[in-house]
Amino acid sequence: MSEKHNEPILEVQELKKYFPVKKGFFRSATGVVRAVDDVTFSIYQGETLGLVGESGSGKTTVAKVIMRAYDPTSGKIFIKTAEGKRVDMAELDRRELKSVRKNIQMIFQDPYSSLNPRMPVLDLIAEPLQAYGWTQKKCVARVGELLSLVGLNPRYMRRYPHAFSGGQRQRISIARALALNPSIIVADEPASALDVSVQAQILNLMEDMQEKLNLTYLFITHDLSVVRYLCDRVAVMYAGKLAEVAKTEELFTKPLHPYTSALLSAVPDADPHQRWLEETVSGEVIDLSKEIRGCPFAPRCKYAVQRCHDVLPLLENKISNIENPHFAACHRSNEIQLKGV
Amino acid sequence: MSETEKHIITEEKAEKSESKKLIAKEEQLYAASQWRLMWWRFKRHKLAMVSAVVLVIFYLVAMFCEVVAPYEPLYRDIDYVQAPPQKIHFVDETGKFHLRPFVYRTSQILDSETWERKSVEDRSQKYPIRFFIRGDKYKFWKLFYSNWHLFGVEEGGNMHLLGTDRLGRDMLSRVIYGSRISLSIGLVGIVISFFMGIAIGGVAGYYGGIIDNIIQRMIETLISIPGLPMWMALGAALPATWPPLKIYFGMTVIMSIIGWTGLARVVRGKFLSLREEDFVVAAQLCGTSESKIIVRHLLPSFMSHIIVSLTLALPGMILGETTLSFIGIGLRPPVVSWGVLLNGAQNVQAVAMAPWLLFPALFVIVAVLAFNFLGDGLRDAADPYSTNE
Amino acid sequence: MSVNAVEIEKTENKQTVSKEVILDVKDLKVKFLTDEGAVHAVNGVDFKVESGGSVGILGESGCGKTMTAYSILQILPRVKKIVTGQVNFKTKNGSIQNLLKLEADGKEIRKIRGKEISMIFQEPMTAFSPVYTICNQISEALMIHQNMDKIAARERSIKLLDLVGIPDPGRAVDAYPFQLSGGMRQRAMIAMALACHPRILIADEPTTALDVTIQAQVLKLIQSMQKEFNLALMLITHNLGVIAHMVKHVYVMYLGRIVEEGPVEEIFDNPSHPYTKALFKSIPKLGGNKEKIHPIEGTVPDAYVLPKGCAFHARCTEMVGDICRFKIPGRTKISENHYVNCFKYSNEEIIENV
Repeated sequence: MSEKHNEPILEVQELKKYFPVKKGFFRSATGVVRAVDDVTFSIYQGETLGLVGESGSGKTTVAKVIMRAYDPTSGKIFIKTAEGKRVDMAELDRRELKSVRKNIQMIFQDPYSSLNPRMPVLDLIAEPLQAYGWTQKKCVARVGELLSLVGLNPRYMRRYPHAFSGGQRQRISIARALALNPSIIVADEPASALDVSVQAQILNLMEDMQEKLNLTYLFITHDLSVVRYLCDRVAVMYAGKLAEVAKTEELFTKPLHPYTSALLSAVPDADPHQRWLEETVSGEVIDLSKEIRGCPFAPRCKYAVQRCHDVLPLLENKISNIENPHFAACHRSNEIQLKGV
Repeated sequence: MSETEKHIITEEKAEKSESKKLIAKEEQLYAASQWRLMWWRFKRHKLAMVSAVVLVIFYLVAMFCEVVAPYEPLYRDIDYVQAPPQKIHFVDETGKFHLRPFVYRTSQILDSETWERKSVEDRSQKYPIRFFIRGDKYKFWKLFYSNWHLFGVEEGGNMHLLGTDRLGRDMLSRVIYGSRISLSIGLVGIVISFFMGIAIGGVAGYYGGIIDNIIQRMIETLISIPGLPMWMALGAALPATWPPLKIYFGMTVIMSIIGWTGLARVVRGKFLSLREEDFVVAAQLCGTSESKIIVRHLLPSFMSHIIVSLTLALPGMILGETTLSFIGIGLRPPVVSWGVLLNGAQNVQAVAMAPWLLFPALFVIVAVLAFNFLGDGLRDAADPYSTNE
Repeated sequence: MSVNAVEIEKTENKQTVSKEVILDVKDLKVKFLTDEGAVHAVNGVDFKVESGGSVGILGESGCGKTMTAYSILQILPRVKKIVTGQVNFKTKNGSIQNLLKLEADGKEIRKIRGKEISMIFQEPMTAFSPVYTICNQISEALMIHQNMDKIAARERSIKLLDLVGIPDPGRAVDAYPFQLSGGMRQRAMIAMALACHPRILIADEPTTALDVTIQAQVLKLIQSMQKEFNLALMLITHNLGVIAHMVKHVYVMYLGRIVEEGPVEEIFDNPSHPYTKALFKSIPKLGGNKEKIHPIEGTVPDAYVLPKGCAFHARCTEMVGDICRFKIPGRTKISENHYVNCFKYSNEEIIENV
């Protein structure tokens, strides 16, 4: 699906985002919610990295922190700018951030709330252009170009969002994200809010755009079948930490983390002949405001031993291949036999 | 279709699924801005539409009060003091029907036996009510002199359609002149509330945190002060020696001091919820400056709600002025407002013997009701996107 | 009532599969009359539910599946509408009633709701009242339908919460809905729905809002409840995976009509209707070979302007001819229990013409 170059275009190092818990009349901070806790990964030019997790895993927060919609509590976000320089986005102030933002844009999940219903499509897509000083004439031309690119008639730019269906609105969002010609797109569940058959349109469109414009995607989702379809590599998150990072096929067929295996077996596949639900994971995600010692998945893991509860496992490459590493944060990866699809 | 074009849905294919071609009408709908959508929804409320028309008429009358009123507010008809409304006739004593209504010259006399006041019509001469007649001279908006009146009777006749007060002044004319003050106090007050409300509420909602806390508590303190006593105190604080115009403006400022709080809270609430909306975050992420976000995204989103709030706050201001002037604390004669007029109807004697002095109250009621219905209609039309999602 | 009563009320015969039809929906039509025109939400739907069976209604948003469910229990939105057809239901005591004939808020239908037919919804937060405790809400059904007193109802509620797998049910029963997580709330909703041992459970997208692992837990719970109480399940969803593993018989809906029905293996192995085929091709698979996905061409037509003839013809790539544009296809048999409404197949035995 894409060639992998050896320099990462986006590198996240030891990223942390803690939200204070405010209680009482004076709203004093009584604790923190560790939404993102020490996350490190890289994305390479031209690839699609899937970021998977359930609610509370921190995947959406990671996306928002990378985009600097939230400020990170600590950590580094190295990005390769359009000029080829390597900058730490976490350190930049507002002005410097603006020039870097040209290269990384976001697509939101809800097509109904991500477009201002009171603005016509032309203004919506041209907004990023106007922020960088484009003239009205140039904007109109570029918007027409972008609409055709995503498969909509350019004459629709006069219309307002209420004229469009969910799938079409999502295309408009994609057009807006592509306006400044970024290299990286962070897509936060772009197809989840859409009807099943419309999802295919958006997924194919994104694939198409990636080929045409040599884009790199950070694709956040909870839907594993979409991940298999679209992503080159996958990162699985649990309770704010990375559980496993590997090439898609490898992760799906030979998972090395019990949570990944549980996740894969919990998804009902569209095939009644396949077996399903032979074992389910019990319990629920732990409270993120409590300090955890050891592995966050240990309370629910059927392979957990005492060490799992005491010592936090680090994300390490569990196989000998350095070109295509398979990272997992589990003490027992090499001991246990986990089931994939 | 080729592999790569599988996602493209061309127009013909999309429209193939519709059985009728309503393209022009649909395009109108698709390209409709939020104001258009609001207007379409508003049109469906008959009561609100009627109220809007009524209010337009009221304000036109207020603007052109010198022209509309048959008499000057201070003109006294000595023959017709504290007298009931004159009758309008279509048929004269001979039984002949006239299309144009007319009045007889009427005077009040004191019946020597019963000591009652009676109106006596002088049937010798008919005075038809004419439109666009020349009458008393007036200064239009204090700019230039004219003597055109919308309707009236010729020299020699009198026409007091709502009766006269105890000094013989025409009630109808005074009500019409009064409308200018009563209806405009509300407007000026609203403009002040608008800016104060948006500014303070916006700051509270946009910055949140401590600033929001402080502003909220301030608002709560202000509105917990009992209204009428505070108005009275502030009204009494206005020196009686001030010229009427100054007092007028003092009154509007007083009205606005409380009025802005309601709006500020609405604006603050809207700001707080809008800040989290995806489209605002999207705008921030693509580099739009904060001020641009406020103007382009936040303000238009709650403009409709502000309009509704203001429309519903207006009657409060009108009633406020009426109340204060009625008690005697607000405007005073020779200024003419509905409240001042009602001041003259304060005692039972007046009400029992000259109930037509209460007519200004009727106008106040109609104006307040009309604003309320209008506000209701606007509120229902206000969020054109609520059914869409 | 003592705790043991719960076991007594389970059906004695768990071994035999009952083939008795307890819900028979015939030609159900729901038309909403709005200012902008008439919306044919449900346009002639027929299906059956057997005692202890499981039936799935598969369709995307706008196909009318939710309105179908709502009309069974007479909880349609209170706007101007026309509802025709029959919803024949066999109660526990054997009598058959047409539920549509019952008044929407009358005593009769209220005896059915909760006691004979229960429903669970997608958003557990909105299904519970936020101002009453869980105990209060479950007990309400028990006290109304089974004449229990408060103490007995509370006992039973705790037992029910335990049955659905909520930890520490003695404390959870006094909690308010917002104090529970999404998965727990959904379980509590199932407890509430099963409190009076209904014959049918209607589940409208019960796990769409839940995480994958929680979804697995909840669906497994529903399956075990089915076994325990010989409960019939009517599952409404757009998720092919869930349908594949939870139900035995599938009805595929599009624009208010049923376009295909059959045993679940048949539908997945041998989808016949062009819509069903296109739907399957447009979804990425988790296992198996990786295939390219193909979106369904065109868009769903405007609800106010229904196409003449077959509802799907405008987007169909396998149209037989002009007949598809003007006539509504009848029901054709493809194989045992597998029927499709499509002119492509109607050369074979035609069962009924709509």
